[in-house]
Amino acid sequence: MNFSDFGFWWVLLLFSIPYFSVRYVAKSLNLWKGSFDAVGLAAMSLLLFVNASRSSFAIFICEIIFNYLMVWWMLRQQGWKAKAIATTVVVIDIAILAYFKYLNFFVEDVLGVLVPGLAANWQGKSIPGMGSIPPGLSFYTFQMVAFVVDSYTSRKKRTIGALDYINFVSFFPQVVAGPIERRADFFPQIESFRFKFTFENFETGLRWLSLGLFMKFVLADNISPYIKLDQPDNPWLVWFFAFLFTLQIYFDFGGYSFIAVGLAKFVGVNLTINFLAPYTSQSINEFWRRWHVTLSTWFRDYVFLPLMGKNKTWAPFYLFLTFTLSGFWHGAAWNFVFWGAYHGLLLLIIRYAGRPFYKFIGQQRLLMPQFISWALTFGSVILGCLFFMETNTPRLFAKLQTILNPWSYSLSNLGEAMSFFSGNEAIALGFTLVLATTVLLMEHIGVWQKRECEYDLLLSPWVSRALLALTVLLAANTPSPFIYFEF
Amino acid sequence: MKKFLQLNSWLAIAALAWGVGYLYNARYGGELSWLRIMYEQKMAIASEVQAPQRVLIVGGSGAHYTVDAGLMQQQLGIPTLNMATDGPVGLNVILPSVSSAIKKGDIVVLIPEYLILLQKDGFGDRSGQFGVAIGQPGLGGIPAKQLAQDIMLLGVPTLKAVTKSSVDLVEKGRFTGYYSDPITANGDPTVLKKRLKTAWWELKIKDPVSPHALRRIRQFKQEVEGKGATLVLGLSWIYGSTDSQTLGNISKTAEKLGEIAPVLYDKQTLNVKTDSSIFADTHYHLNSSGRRTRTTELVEQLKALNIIRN
Repeated sequence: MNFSDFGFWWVLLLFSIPYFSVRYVAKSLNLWKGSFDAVGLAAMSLLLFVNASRSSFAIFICEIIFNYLMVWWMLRQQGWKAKAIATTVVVIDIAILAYFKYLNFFVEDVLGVLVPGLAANWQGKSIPGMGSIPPGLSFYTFQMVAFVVDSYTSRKKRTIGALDYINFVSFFPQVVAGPIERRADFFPQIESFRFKFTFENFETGLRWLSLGLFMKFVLADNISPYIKLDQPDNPWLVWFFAFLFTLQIYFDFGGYSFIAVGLAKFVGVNLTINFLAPYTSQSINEFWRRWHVTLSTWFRDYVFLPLMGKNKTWAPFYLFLTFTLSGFWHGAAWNFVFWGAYHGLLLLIIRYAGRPFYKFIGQQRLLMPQFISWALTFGSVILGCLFFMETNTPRLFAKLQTILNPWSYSLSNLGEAMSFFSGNEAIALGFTLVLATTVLLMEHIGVWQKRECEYDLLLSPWVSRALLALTVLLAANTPSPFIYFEF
Repeated sequence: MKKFLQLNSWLAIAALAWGVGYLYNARYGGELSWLRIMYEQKMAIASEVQAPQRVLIVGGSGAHYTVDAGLMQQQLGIPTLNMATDGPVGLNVILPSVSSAIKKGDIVVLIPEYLILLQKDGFGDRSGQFGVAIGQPGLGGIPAKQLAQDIMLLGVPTLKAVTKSSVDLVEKGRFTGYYSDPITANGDPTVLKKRLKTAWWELKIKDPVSPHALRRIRQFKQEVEGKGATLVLGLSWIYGSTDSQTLGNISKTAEKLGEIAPVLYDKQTLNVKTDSSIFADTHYHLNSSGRRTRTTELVEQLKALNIIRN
């Protein structure tokens, strides 16, 4: 769901007021059945989906019906039949995703290279569904695929209620951009769903919501207008904009995820925390344990481990391949492939050169080994973000050339970079960066103090209330689109 | 009880922050507050100036920064008031917002910018917030959803605006805004905005007047005549392109508006100017000499209608 769109909150309000009023009255008259809660949740989720995109809703409903019927059938079969059904469902789900997301890329950027004129010819054609990816397709496809596999491998082949399945895949806080929930964590919470409006749920929900709203509307949306992609010649600016994008993407996606967590808490559901203070990481391995956790574990469990099988000899290659595929999942463009491969490569470097390196800097106590590790990791992530943000491949190479050329780091270029923003712009950006740094620092303290949750300080009663007040006062009035909606 | 208070503290904090934001945005400091103050000043002037016949200039900033009402008053010999406000307020809200100022015998000269004439629903970015700020929420029949969103945003000052105001406070010792400069006794601006050193281009008008704008102006005519006043329409002066599309759309606009009320414009040029030196900071706003020339031409066009009683 698009939490930036006032329409989402409007529909939520218009549905909730009559629904919960009727529920309250009916409950006081003992006329309310528990199962009405599950119906209400499904209605709420589907209504919000229709409001977000009617065309995507049609695809979504078809996929729900297909997946539910196939899983229902699969659970009644044994052996190769069950396996064949599971395989068919997964292949069809991925094929639907590939059709909407990758067909253009394969025809224009892959086949187009081999067959002259094909790309131009293809662009003139009007193919149904081409042009934009239906919102949420990637996320709910992954959740459906995981559900099929988990249902196939589960020991207890218990049948699943249709309403429970609908609520599992369409749960409105997370259906469009995750977290990608797994059957074992999420299904028990959604099975025979009942609204749990308790003080604790409201209080915790509001804290997560405040953090998410602050990250998205104050930090990400106030950083976004300052990122300029058309500056390939000045290395200071290339680094600076990549740094700004590194902050924006985290606060944008983290913000979305935490709003989702907060909304789910209101109704009594615990979603997986998708980010665990990723910019506190001291290695790339750690970064990937903290960044977009549900996607990383999805790729680990449903791509990397099946690819590798029992033979671990080729593990490094499959790791590299998995990360490249993960990059490709983010978008049908070369820059995402490079980004995935870059991170795969970093992991291989850590795997083979990490220990000697840490041993070396660990001996240099004066050099603050932990700080060096953090700085190197964060720098690597910023460089990765350069790949991620720049979809124009020739310009990406021009930027790489610029930052690799030591002579381009001139004082005149530095002067140009320092005066790039002037007056109010520079002050507003500076203040936003101070707020962003404060948030990151509080995450660092949370990790350093080994608190129960990385965001404990930011979720403390008065800090989260202050974040809500700051969001009301400082939110950008023209929110930038959620970056992960494009994927 | 403790839990109740704890939960309500969220509401209290959000309401307090929103209240501070509202005070900034609508009462003092934010752009909307300056627009509201200017509007209230103009309405106060209109209530003070009593005469058997007055000329009221109505429209957006394209009229506010274009017509010299003081000069027009001298040349026509009857009280002339510049009642124009801001284009993004939208036609649906601009028209009812001046309605109470119109009295029997008045000549209401409506000169809407093309952005106002092209609006498909008569609402702009400031419609809902302007209505709330002047104490008339829902003015112009703004849809409930947009009104709800606008009211919510009315308490959100934004980091950008807060930064600008903070810098203003440090540099000038006070808050400022686009409409914060004083106005004259005729409602005219006292300070003209300067054009920034950015690229300047000829404005193109890509569509003729929208059916909605025509309907709303036709309704406004009935409202004006119902009060015993007369409606006259005017085309904006623009620094614009003379391509056939632009001229064709302006011509069509003039023709359609002419079916409602007399339209003041130069039939040769269609009020499209190719000399950018008479313009100020936008394609509609004129500098001092431009305003004098424009006003003199407008006076001649008004006199030609034979509706001015001296």
